[in-house]
Amino acid sequence: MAAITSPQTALAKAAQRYDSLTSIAWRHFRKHRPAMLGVGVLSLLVLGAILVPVVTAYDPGKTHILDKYLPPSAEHWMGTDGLGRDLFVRSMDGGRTSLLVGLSAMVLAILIGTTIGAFAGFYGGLTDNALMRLADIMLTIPTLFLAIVLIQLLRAGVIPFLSAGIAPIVFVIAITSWMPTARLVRASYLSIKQKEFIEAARAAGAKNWRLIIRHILPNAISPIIVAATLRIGAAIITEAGLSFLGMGVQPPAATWGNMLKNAQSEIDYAPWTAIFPGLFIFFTVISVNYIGDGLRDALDPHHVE
Amino acid sequence: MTRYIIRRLIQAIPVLFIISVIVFSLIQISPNNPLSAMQNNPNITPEDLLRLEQEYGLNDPLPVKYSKWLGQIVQGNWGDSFVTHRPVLTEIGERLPNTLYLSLIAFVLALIIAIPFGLISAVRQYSLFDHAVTTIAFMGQSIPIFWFGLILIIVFSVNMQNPLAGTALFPHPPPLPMFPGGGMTTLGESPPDPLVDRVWHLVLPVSMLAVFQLAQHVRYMRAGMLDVLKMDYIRTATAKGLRERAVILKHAFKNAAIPLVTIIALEIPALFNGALFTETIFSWPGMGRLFFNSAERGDYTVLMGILMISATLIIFFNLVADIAYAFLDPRIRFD
Repeated sequence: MAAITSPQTALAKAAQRYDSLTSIAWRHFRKHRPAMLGVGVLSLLVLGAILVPVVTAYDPGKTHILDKYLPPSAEHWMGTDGLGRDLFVRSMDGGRTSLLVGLSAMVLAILIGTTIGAFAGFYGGLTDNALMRLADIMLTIPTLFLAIVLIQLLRAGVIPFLSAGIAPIVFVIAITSWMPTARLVRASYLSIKQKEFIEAARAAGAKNWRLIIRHILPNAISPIIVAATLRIGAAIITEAGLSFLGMGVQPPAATWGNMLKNAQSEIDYAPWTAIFPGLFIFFTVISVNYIGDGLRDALDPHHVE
Repeated sequence: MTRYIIRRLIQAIPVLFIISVIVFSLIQISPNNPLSAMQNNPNITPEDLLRLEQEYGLNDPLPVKYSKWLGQIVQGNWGDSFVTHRPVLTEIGERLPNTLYLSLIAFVLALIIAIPFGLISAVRQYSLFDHAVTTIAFMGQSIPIFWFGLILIIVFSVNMQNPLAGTALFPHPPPLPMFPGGGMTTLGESPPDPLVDRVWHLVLPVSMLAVFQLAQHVRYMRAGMLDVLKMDYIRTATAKGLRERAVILKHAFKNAAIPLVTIIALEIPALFNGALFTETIFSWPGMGRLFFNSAERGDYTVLMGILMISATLIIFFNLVADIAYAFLDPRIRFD
């Protein structure tokens, strides 16, 4: 018997054939095993950072001087530090700050980089030249040196709303790391603005800002998403590094970086104070990097379906 | 080529000028007073401090201060440190060679290891070796470098003993750490063979500094090689009967190295970051450490000196990378 396709199944088939780009990307992403593992590990870490400080009996900030430098045990899974604070609980509490700094710095860096890159690529000429020379100059000053000068300046209260808490470090990380994104976005804008559909939109009367945001940006978004993901890991490492040098988030607030600050002098008798906070950084960053890797594959337009 | 190099060198002058203006302003806005160390000195009266501030021109407006500084630089006078009162160039001259010595050894070592590993990994794609190399390289890129330094100290300096302690090579009686956790040479007490001692002190800081570059370079070498191996001219070379060795080393390698050169050029500024952490952890008397201490003390003449010298070095090494391009890829012409 010859099958007669009902209109419903035909529609369903058509819908199946024209999957959205997001669902195609997701299908590819799901197959990238390290990336999925990264999602799992990262979810656990985020969950732990949110829940552990709430449900635990230990106060991450309270000192118990009699319990100082206890090695890892059933009571203190990762041991205690020089002030008797539980390292596991403190790492989870510090994780909130570290993850927040990483995320905020990434958002700010990507916003700055995308804006500068979009303007440079779209307008070209003098604007392009000026903005890209600025990026070149920023890339010629060693980042960490610039960051140290900037952090001191902000912490002294030169810009009042950027002087305390995580604000100065987020700002400094962003201001020293937007350049690669700007170059990437500029290149996409340069090539996309030549396409016919942009000419069509312009002929239909679209203004420049509309072309930049509504027409070009959605077509340039894939590499930005990948760069953004990788930027989180880099930002977490930079925060940790600056805090390790004593230039980041200040104690008593914990971050993975400033927990490592005293660890070096305690390495002979309490190596766990150096090992565990760093392990958290490592697992977070490697998860984020694998997710970025997976996204790069998934968003690659050269997939054969 | 010569004309290209000269043009690039001329282009560097305005860049360095703009950098000096930006950085000088940033340092001057920040409220660290270079004389603050003297404020607690009972032998210096407040009047003396005022007189010194006058003399150094610390209260001059920013443009005046900058033009004074620039005027001196142009004449080759980099000023004196506010803390040690020695010339800035002497201060930097003592530290820069230590930083370069450490960074260059790590840099060369990373390249020497990365190139063959990346090559073999690409040629034997999806083999066990390839999987191991890519996974380890990925881990190396995700590890916080300073934490890796701490782990190296825990393993090799705190927990492992040197089996050669008490022998002719290391006269120090046991217990002696496998590798020292700091310094450039052994201080005091009958030093062993100076060369052995130097290398022995280099092992951990160089490993720490090399790991990130190594991971990065392996990945780029492998990716570059994989791209090139798909090319028609490689198939031609294989088809005409060349041995695999010759195809890979003579035909593929040079083109595959181009992306590696790009990433090396981009990573040069990061070498200074790595050096600061390595010098901090291994108490290495280098330029990064000098910068950090000077920043804490507001010693701006030294800060400006270090920033200008490192920016110049970065520009110089970028130029070297561009020249290396021309060598690797004759299609690139500079004019």
